[in-house]
Amino acid sequence: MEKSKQNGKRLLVVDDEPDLREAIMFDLQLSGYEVLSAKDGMEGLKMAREKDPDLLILDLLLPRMDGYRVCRMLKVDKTTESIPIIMLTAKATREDERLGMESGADMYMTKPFDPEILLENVESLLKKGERKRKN
Amino acid sequence: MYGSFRCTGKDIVVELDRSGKDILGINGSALSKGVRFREVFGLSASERRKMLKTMREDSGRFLGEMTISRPDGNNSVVLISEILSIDEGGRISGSEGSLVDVTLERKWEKELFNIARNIGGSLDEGKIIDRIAIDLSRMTGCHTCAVVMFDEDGIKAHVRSSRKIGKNYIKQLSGDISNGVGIYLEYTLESSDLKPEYKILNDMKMAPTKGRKNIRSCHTVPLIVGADLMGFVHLSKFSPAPICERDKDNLNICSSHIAHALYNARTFEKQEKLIQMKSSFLSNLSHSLRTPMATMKQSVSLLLRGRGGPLTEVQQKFLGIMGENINRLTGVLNNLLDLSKIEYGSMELNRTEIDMVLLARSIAESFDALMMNKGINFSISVKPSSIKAFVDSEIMRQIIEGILGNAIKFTAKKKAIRLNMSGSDKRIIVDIEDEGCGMSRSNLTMAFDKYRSFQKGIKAGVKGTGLGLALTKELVELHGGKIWIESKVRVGTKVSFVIPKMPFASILQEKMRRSMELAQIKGEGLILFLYIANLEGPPPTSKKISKLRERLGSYLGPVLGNIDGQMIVDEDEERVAVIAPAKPKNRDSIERVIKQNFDEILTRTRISGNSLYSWVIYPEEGKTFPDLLKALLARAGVNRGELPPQHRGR
Repeated sequence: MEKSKQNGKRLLVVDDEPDLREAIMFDLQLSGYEVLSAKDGMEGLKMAREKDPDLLILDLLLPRMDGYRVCRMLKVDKTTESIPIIMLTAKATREDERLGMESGADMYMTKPFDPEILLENVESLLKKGERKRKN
Repeated sequence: MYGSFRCTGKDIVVELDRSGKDILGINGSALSKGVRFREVFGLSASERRKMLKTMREDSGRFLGEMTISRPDGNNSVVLISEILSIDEGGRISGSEGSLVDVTLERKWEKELFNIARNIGGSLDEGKIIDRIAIDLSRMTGCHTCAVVMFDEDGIKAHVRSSRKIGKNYIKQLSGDISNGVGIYLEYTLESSDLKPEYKILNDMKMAPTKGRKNIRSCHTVPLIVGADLMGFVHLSKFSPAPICERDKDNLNICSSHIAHALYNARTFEKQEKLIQMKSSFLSNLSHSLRTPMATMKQSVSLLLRGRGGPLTEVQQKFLGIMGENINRLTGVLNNLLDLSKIEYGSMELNRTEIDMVLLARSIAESFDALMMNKGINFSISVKPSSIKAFVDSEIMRQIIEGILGNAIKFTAKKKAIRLNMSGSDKRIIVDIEDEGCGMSRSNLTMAFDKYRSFQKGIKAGVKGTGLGLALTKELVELHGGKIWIESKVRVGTKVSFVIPKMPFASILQEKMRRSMELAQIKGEGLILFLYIANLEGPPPTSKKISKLRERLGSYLGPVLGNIDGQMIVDEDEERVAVIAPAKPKNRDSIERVIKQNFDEILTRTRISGNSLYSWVIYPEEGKTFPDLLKALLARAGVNRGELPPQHRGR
């Protein structure tokens, strides 16, 4: 799939499930985003720091470093704190969601999710981020 | 010490020894000097024979009661149940066991009640064990006590609680059953029902002085349930006066109760563990199912949206079916997870004040498209136009969505569904009535059953999980409400639920918060007293409630003053809380009076239902409401942070 940069936004998908990662990436790419991916927490953190994505889609139960930790580390770092993070996880309890939001996520979605709603959420968070930057 | 009693119309004075067991003399004459019967009773020979006959006939029966003054200053009541033996020459000799000291009996009776309450109120094995070590050694005046429990397999013994027992002795008491841990089991195990492996203990006798030279007497009580020896309680005394026979008898009586309480606690613990295992199994299962389901859903959605190129009509149709079924699976999974969470008690309500009418309207709106498709004529009627309630809005949404969703599912095209909501001062009733296929009587009876689908007889093509109603019921009950169904086949179904607007616990929390603020300003303490009557019985009548108010007023009045205005009464459930100021200097007397007045009620009500009372002092025992509630419930032996739900099992 050709990486188009029509709207110039770069997204990073961190999920250890290759099939799901591929399906999400495919959908996002067709919506015109440049999509990067990482298969574990460490790699995700490294890429988020190096590639400066505009938004992160982050799983919670990841090898090497869990999503909560990745999220907290990005949110305490001045250079990465403004990257919006959508947690996309199989952890579905209220307690999990509270923990997720406490670690600094901007949005919490549980698997299985509605792909169209994910697209909407990506779009709205990107817009919000843009407005913030303008202000 | 002396006592007197009346026997066949004569006053008789008896002198007893210090233990109160042996008779030293009667009417001032010492028995050892060979007092004549006539001299004692002042009767003629014929009267004497007559009396002797009566006494022999009455032997074993209660003959009289006398009060004796003890050297320690206390008076004892002694029942003469069996008259002293009288020889042919009219000589009376004291006989062991002929006198029963009722004071001691009554003391034991009280102690047995105490033990029953202490162990009966708890399902915590460790706590029960600690409790009995303390209680039994106090009651028998024993210096040391060890509670030794066998493990689940009944092989290894461990000292689980001990008083004044050294490490070495503990080692001796613990160990493997075949290596003679039972050497300390002086008691002969007579129960023939007991498993053969315990018979080994029969031949082993206690060696009392081994390693413990100061022990003068000891007694071991086995804890037996059915064929199982759960463990034993080992007691010993250093003083020259041995553990008396009566104490041994009483220990044997309570041992069976203790064993059963421990057995129940173990069973409960096992059951809790199983529920926990089930819950964590379900949560793991759900977690591992979610990711593949998400992948399927994402893939199907991609194709359906034409991201993989245009689709034929048939492709579109079957992909649509796939998508719907993935959603159904998700629904089942979520319901399962919620149910197991409720069962495990980890579902917590996040209550806020919401307008139930607005909520119902917004839910109806979300079903708009679905109902329009089926041409369903939906109407909503509310009274009054705004009904505020203190509920978990998300869960309330789940409840109404569940019922309404079902109604739509089972209602044919062009039929009607009505939602009625009415609120009074205290509660809200919601009915959702449909003109659907209805339910047969047999389906109706198991409509709320968990893990059972009642799809038989339901029109083909209608999909249900069989979990929805069970979950809805749990969620309504979590709000302190009730749910019921009325239905007629081919006519329709009406599902109704009622919930309290402001539940007792929330009112209590709110009142306590305000009282705590006030107390802080005044620099005073508070006492929160809670009485829950008849935990498992039917809801009380208003007469019963007013009686309860009266009784509490008269019991608590002496220490807390007039409490009429400070009572928070839950009229549905027979629960009463009292919040009153507690000054540091009268706290002890408050506790004493409460204990005195309520112990009796509790022992009485325990028999019929399950009642509890407890209290907590602010700020000493907790600074926040949850902490106070926890301390209060712990005092009553309830191991959880929430008020026990009413009219339900767990």
